[in-house]
Amino acid sequence: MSSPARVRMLVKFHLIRQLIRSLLRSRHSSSITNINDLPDECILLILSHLPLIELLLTVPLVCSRWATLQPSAVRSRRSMLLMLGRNPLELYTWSRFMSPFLDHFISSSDTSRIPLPLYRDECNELNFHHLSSKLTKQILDNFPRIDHFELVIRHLDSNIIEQIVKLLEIWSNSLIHFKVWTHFVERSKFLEHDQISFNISRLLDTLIQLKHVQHLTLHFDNFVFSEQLDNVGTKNYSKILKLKSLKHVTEFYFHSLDHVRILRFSLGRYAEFNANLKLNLIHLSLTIQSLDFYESNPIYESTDHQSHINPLSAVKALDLTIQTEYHSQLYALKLGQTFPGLQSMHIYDQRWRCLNCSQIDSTSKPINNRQSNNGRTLTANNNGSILNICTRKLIEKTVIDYCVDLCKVSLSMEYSH
Amino acid sequence: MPIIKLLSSDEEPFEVDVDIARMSITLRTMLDDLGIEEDDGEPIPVQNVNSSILRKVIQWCTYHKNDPPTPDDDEQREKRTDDIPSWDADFLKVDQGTLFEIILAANYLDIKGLLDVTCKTVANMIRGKTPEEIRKTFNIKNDFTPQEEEQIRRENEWCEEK
Repeated sequence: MSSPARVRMLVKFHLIRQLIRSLLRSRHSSSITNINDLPDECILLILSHLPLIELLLTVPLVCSRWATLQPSAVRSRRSMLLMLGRNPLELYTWSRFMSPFLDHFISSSDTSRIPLPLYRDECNELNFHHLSSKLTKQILDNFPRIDHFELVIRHLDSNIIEQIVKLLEIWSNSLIHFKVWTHFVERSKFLEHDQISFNISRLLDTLIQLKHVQHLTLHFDNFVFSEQLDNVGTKNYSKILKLKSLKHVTEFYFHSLDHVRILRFSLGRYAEFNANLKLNLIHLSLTIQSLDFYESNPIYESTDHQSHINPLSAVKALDLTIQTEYHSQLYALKLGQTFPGLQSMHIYDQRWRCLNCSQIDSTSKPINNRQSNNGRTLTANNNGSILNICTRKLIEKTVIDYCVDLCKVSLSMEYSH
Repeated sequence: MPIIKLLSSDEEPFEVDVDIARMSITLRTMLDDLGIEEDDGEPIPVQNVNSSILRKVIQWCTYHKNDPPTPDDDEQREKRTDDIPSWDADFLKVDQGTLFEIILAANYLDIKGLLDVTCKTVANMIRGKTPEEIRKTFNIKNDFTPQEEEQIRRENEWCEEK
C-alpha cells in the first residue's frame, strides 16, 4: 500500500474511532439514577439475593417490569423453606429458642431463609398450615428442580405427609440438602399415637429414596409425646442410619424424637450405623434423661455382639448438647471410642435450658490450653464462668485416650454449679 | 510489578497493576487475546465506564486483590446478604446512582466479587419492604392498574393458602 493511501486510511480510522468514542461518551454521560435503568441481567442478580417469600409475594407487585422478571428469578431458585403451621413466625422463633443447634445451623448456613415478610403486621396471616394438593402442584410447577428443601411442620397429619412425600418423590433426583423440623407445640386432638407413628414412618421411608442427599437434618421435637413416641423414635432413626442408599450423606444432624431411645441407640448400638455412610459431621442432642438411662442400662458392658461399637472413623466433627454432668467421663469414653477420627468437638452445655444464642456464638476466653499426648492443642472455652470439673475430665479423657487427631474442642457453658 | 494503562469512557487514563486489572474477566480476556503483559504505551479503553466509577472499581479491586477466588457453584441458591464485609459496606455508602453504575461496571468488566456485593447491597435495600416502600425507595413508578394489581395478587394466592 502506497504511503498516501496508508495515511488516508489511518486518518479515516482515527476519525471513525473518535466518532465511536464520542457516541459512547454521550451515551454514558446520561448516568443511571433509577434501578430500572439497569439491564434485566442485573435486576435478576439483585432479586436472586431476596428471600423466596419476598420474591413470590412482594416483587411482582412493584412494577410491571419486576412482575415480568419475577418468574425467571423464581424458576432459577433451587432452595425452598416451607413452613407448615398456624403461625410460621412463632414456629420459627420457638424453634430458635428451643434449639441452639438449629439456630447455629441456620445462622451458619443461610439466614436469608427467614421469611421476612412475616415480621410485618400486614403479612402475619401468611399461613401454610394446610399443604393441599393444589399447593403441592403449584410448588412443583414453579420449582421443578429443588435441591435444597427445608420443612417446618407443626402437625403431622396424613394429608400433609402425603403431599410432602409427593414433593420428595418428584425431587428425589435433585435434592441435596433436606431438613425437617417437626414441632408438636400444639398437641393435636385428632392424631392418635399410632397415626403419628405411621406418618413419621411414611416420611422417613421416603427419605430412603433421596439418593443424592448430602446434608440431612432431622429434628423431631416432642415435649407432649415424648413417652408415647419412644419406640417410634428408635425404630425410625435406626431405619435412617442403616440406609444403604444414602451413601452420599456427609453431614447428618439429628435431633432426637426421643432422647432416651436415641441415646441408647447412639451410644449402645453403633453397629446400627450404616458403615457405607460417608459421614463427616454429626450433631447429637443429648439430655439429662439420656445419661440417666445410660447409667441404668450399661449396654457398653454387654458382650452381646450386636452391642459392640462400630467406630465411625470418618466423623471429623461433633457438635454436642449436654444438659447434665452425670457420668460425663464415661460418656466421653464412649464418644472417644465411637468417633476416633474426631478433629473438632463443640459442646453446648445446656443445663437449665437458659442457653442464650448470642452466648453460644460469642467468642469466649480460652481458659485452658494444653498439649495432649499426641501434641495436638486442646482448647476448652467457656463464657468466663466456672469450668465444671467433670466436663473438663470428659474432654481430657476423650482427647487423650481416643481421639488422637482431635485438635480443637470448644466448650460453651451457660451454667455451672 | 507490571503496569498497564486503562482509559475511561471520558478519556481519563488510569495506571493499574496488571494483576489488579486481571481481576476483571473482561480485561483478562482482552489482555490475553492481545498478548499484553504490561504497558506498551497504548491505553486499553474501558468504554462503558466513566472515570469516577472506574476509580471506584480500581479501589475495590486493589483492596480485594488477595482475596481467594469467588466460588460460583451456588449461583442458583438463595443467598445470604448479611455477610457484606465492613470495608465493602463503607465503600458502598454512596448515592443510588453511583451504586447502580458500579453494578453496571462490575457486570461489564465481569468482576464477580464486586457484582455480588453491590447486588447484595441493593437487595438489602429491598428486603422487608412492601411494594409501595420499594417503589418509594427506588423512585419506581407504579405502572399497574388496580385491576392488574389485583390479578397479580390472585395469581400468587397459592403462596398464602389459608
